[in-house]
Amino acid sequence: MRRNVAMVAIIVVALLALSGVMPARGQAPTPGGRAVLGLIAGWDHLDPHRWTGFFFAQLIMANIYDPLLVRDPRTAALRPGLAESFEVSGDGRVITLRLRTGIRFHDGTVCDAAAVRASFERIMTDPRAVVVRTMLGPVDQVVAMDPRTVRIQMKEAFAPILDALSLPMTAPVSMAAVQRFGDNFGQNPVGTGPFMFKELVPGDRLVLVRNPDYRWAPSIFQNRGPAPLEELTYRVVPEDLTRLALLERGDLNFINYPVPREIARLRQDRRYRIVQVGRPGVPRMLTINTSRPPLDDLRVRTAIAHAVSRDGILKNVWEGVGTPAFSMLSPVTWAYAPEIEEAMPKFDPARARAILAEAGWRLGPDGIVQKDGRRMRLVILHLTGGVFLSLHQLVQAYLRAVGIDSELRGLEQAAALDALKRGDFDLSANQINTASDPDVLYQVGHSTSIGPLWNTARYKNATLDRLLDDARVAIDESRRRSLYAQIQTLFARELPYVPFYVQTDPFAMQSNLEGVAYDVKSLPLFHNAFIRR
Amino acid sequence: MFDYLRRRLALSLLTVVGVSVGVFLMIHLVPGDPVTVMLSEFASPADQHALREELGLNKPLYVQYWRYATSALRGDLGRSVRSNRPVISEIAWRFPNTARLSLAALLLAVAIGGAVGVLSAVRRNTVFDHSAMVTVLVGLSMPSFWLGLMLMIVFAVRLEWVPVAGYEGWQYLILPGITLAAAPAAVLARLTRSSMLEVLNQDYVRTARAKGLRRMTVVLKHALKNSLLPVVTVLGLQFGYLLGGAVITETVFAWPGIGRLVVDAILARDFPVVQGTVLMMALGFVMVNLVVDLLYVYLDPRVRFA
Repeated sequence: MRRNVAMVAIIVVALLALSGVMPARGQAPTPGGRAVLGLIAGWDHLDPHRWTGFFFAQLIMANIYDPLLVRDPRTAALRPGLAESFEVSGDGRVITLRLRTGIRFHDGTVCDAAAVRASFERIMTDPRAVVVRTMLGPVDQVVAMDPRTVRIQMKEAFAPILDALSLPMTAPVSMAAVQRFGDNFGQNPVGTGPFMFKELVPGDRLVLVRNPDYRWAPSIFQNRGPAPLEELTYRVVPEDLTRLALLERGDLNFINYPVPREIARLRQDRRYRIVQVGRPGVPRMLTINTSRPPLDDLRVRTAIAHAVSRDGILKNVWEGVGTPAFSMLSPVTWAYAPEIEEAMPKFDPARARAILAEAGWRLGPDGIVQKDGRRMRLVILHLTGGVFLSLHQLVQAYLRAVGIDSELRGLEQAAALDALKRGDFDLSANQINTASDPDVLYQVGHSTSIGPLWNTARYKNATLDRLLDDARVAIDESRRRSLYAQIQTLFARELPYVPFYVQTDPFAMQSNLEGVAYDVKSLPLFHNAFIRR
Repeated sequence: MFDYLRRRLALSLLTVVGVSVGVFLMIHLVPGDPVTVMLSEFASPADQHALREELGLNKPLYVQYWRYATSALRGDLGRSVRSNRPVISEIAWRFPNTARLSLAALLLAVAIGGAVGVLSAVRRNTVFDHSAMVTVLVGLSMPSFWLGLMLMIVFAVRLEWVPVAGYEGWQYLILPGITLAAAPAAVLARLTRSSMLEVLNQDYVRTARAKGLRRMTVVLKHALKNSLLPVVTVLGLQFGYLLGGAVITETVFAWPGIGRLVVDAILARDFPVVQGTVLMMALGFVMVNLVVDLLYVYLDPRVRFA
């Protein structure tokens, strides 16, 4: 029943997200108007190739740059972007893209196969383009076959590259602008997208203006020409209540992360609209450090999974915003396997206590389980402040109820990340890995990802490694889907992580702002957005 | 007097150097790696090593500090590891916003705190005096975060008398200025009151009254100036503190000042920005206190003729 409700919620959200892709019947976009968006956090720079993982920078880059491919928000299938068609060779080592005609960068330079090749060259050689280069995988060379055809030659098959080509981080950039601005290109972005850079005030706002020559919007949009909005301003407003107050005063048209306890009130108010978009990739989860006893015992991990209530977390920490997660992939990720939900342990404190007893951990006189004279006391690492503290306090309470004692250790972000990577903790629920390709599971599950990458559970399993390696090189989508189903089953059985809930990005906007679309990573797209008069 | 000023100047320079060394050491010793911030965790050990070499992060700390200090003397505070913008530009953009807000808050604090303090001292043990001191206590105890949000909800959202947030014109200074002024005004009120009370009990003030001078003349011309010494000291400290950027007020009102800049930089381990901003804050603090020291010369003849 809970799963059906979750699926209905996701479908509703997806339909809302389509409002920009397929505007309501009879509602033609009205050209003109300026939208001001309030964001909870700013951006470091807007050079897509030098992106280092900062989520909010993508939010802006998605409206400045056009990727070669796009994912259909309804089906997650890959569709043409700047490339009107694409082909993958049988062995997966050659990807051929045929570009649309007439594409130009914001500075007027031509975006043809040579320009795309030069952009890829930059990604492959720029020392600061590490993340994006890793996303593309083992590229051997990129060749411009003719003015409209680009061929990417891989050293070996690498399935995630197609998803990488659908992200703004691999989009072509104007090399003339790169040469002109050098290291400052990130403060003076030049792409091919529906909006062009106008002005940047550090720490405060970024102003984009409509690209009047835009004629190559992806096929997922009804309006393929210039954006209706003439100006788009992003403002940094870190405080939740201030952002909401600005929206209610009309100073902002659109905000992300409205105060959770105000969402119900905003829904009832016809002046505003609320949209909630689930993020793909790995949901919010509890990381269990499998390298530290007693968490190396699967029975203890299973007991912990039974001890925590997902509904309780959503209700008490997130005011009901979000959906429970029962798999290592969020339901909006294309390789999500719904059948896994049955395998994932559910909230059952009695079962948790019974499993602990089976593992030799019996309740002591102080209500804490003990084995061989040792009490079980775990270290729970969390980010300081706000919702993270509440979340971990709740987890601590759930564990206490089944006899597991714990100590909360709060650290600021950089120190917490350091401790996570070093394995200096027992449990932690800070991690989320947003990605539209299921290859993200490689980062959290492969044994080579322990340490520098995101296998913070320090989990080693040769079968899992093999499955993840095979899924990376499988070009056929149905084969990949089958492999990821096996991978998700293995995660559900071994429990190095316990998925909690799907990160849902809520957005609140004035109800006269229409046509905002959301891509598969929940990034709002303003290609067809307009202000209804 | 000149000896006094020379000593103050020398101490000020030592303070700035000491602060820069302290911050340099602290930011390099806490967990968190700027190379990971710049390149991400996907960078290979070879990539990370190459960037460390380029930035000189492999050198001993004293060598890194020397390079930083000599560059800083030339006006080069390095580049942000996140945005790659020059640190001096990051600060130059934001410092005027902080200065404007600080000055507004200070003027408000002086006007309100000074007036309340003088009036409370002159009307000691009256209803006004007791009410004022209770209000001052509330002002001191109230968290600025809460005060700012309450002012915003009442005056900006409900009554729409003032803007919610932003910094484009003088009207945007009102709410953050009041929020920031509350605590310093409270401190100044209490200090002015106690300093005035001490001076009002002096013989020369009694003599001035006995000569038949008007009350306000006695208070403002004879007593106030002599009561200002401790007040001016605290004022200098308060202004220096305000110039450091009130991050909470800046966050609540989306005010792009250096307080938010330095906190964001600390969380992101953006070393150059942290070092540069703290250096600027220390310089600002030191200069304000130098001005305070010069004011002493005017206020206290004993310093002038020392």
